[in-house]
Amino acid sequence: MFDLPALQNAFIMLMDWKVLMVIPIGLLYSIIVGAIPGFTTSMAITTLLPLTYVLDPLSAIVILASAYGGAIYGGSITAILLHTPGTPASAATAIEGYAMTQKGEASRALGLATTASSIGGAFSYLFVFFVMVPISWFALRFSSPELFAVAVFGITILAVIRGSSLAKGIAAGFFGFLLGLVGMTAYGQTRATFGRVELIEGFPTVTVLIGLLAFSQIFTMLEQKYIVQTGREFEPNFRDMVKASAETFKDWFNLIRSSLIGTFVGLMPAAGSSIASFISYNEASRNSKVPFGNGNPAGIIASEAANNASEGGAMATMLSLGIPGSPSSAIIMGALLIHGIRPGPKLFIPKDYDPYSGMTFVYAIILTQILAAILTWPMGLTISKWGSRIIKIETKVLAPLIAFLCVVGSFASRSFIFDASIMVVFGLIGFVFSKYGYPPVAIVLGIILGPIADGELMRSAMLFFGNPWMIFTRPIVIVLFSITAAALLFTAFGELRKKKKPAEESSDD
Amino acid sequence: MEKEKKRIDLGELIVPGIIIATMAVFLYQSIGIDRPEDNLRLVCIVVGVLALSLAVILFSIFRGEETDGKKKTPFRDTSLLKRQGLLYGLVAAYIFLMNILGFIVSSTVMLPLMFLASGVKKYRLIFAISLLLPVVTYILFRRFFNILLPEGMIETCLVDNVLYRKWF
Repeated sequence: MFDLPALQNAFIMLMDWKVLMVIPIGLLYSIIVGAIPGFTTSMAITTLLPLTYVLDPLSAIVILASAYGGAIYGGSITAILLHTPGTPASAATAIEGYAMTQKGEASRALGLATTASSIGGAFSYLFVFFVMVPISWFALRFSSPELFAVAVFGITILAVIRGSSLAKGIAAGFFGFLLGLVGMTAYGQTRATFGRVELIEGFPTVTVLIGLLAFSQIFTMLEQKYIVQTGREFEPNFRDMVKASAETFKDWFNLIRSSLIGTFVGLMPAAGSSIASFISYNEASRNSKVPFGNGNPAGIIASEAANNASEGGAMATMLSLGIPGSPSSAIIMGALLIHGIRPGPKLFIPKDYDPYSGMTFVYAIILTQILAAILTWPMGLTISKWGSRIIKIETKVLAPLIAFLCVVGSFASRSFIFDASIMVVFGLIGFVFSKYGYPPVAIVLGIILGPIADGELMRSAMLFFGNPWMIFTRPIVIVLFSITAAALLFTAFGELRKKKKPAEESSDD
Repeated sequence: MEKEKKRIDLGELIVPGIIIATMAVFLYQSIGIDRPEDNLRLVCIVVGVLALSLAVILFSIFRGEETDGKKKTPFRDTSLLKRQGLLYGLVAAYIFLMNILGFIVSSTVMLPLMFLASGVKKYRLIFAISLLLPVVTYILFRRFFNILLPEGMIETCLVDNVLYRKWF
């Protein structure tokens, strides 16, 4: 299970001050960048790439991997304070986090998010540390049919983010699902692009996300003087944040379950941290006695633990199989290739002349990332303490500033003015939809899952010579579809029971 | 319990209307796709969502919506709506102008207007933010993130004809 000499060598490698120094640098940079709406995790890592040219391979991957975790966490700060997820992975956090902020519990929400992120990240790397070899065996068995089944399972989340009615939640989700189909198909045809080159890759997720969740929020924000409606002035309180950190451990079952979900989703190629956070959020809501959507701490813990845990899983798949589990790990993989290191099964074979090979290198990466996850807690709390002062500013001052950030963020993702226009359109859609009880988050989910389900189904059809039904010959697919069916049936019965209860109560009256 | 008489709220038709319009566009676009695999799947999805949206409309109109006991009618406060509309229009104009004037000039011009539209009266604050924010953002993006922000026709023309012109 362990390669002890390699582990010993890995510890020796970590004695290098340069390797240890790059961890806080990567974290500090990425938490700040991740908190800026429009700056995705991939962008935080990409902008650090030039710096890695002057570093040794281990320091290079350590700074990038630290930035990966930091950016995922950073996204939660603005998600909680401004309902503006810095990264798509924090979209689920925004639902409960912002509701808590509106109730005057921003410090608590930030404390919960920071601790859950830190624990989730550390848990996933510890898990990877222990089960690196079996993981590579399992992940190798996931191909297009299984990924399609995972995307279909993701649709059950719509039952949770339902808005004012289940039908509206589903309608909004399918609307997003359809928008996610814009662009080039797996067969090479373009769909609904109207000849626009900018839409060939589909609607840019980041831009749509900024429009639906951040830009639309500006107009809702103007309806009140401050974000916090409690009347008392919000003072960022370090003690409250630390107290909330302790509270996170009380929900230990949710924390471990979410970290496990995140790690496993991260292991699946292309699934990513956004899906991990939504699946985990969904599971937490299913098991919670208190309804979600009104500032439930369990939702924040679930979402944040899972999205940070997905990082460890994605890194494990990338290192063991050479398959990037997410766009961010693809960039890290690119950086490794620049340094002459090819991730994949051969990485585990030690080379006498190369210190950056074999299990020593893999263990060194895992150990630094456990350290980075632990460091996320003090650094995250300090940064969010200062960041949380934003909500003391009047909304009329904040609104134009956020509008400016939204325009810049949507432009920066691909350097197209067209993207900023898309953002404005989606902002209006998000505003109108939310006003009539259609949850914009459901549209986001549809946009994320739509292309995955569509692409993987098409690839599965190609794999089985045009017969997509053949996917049901695969055991993992059957298991995943059974879970999906069970989840849907469970929700439907729950809904029926809820409707029956008031009817019975009114007849009693 | 006496049942309240429900009226048809036309506002409830806006969102299903948007969804149906999008479906119609997709349906029209899917006709042009050559491959039968693509066409079939897309049409199925479109028809499915279309049916669902119709169900939502029917559900909303004839059965009424269950809210938390309170019926909220959106977009009733006209003065707020005007303020929101004005800000939205200014952001749209800002994006349009960015292409012509470039990032710094359009931001310096449009940011004060956006602040005034949202109700800020502190002119010194407006002046300071509108001047500093675009410049700092520009430097940050250009120098540190290596992301080029729009230069616009005027800025490009100035750079080409003034800075890079061979004067002698």
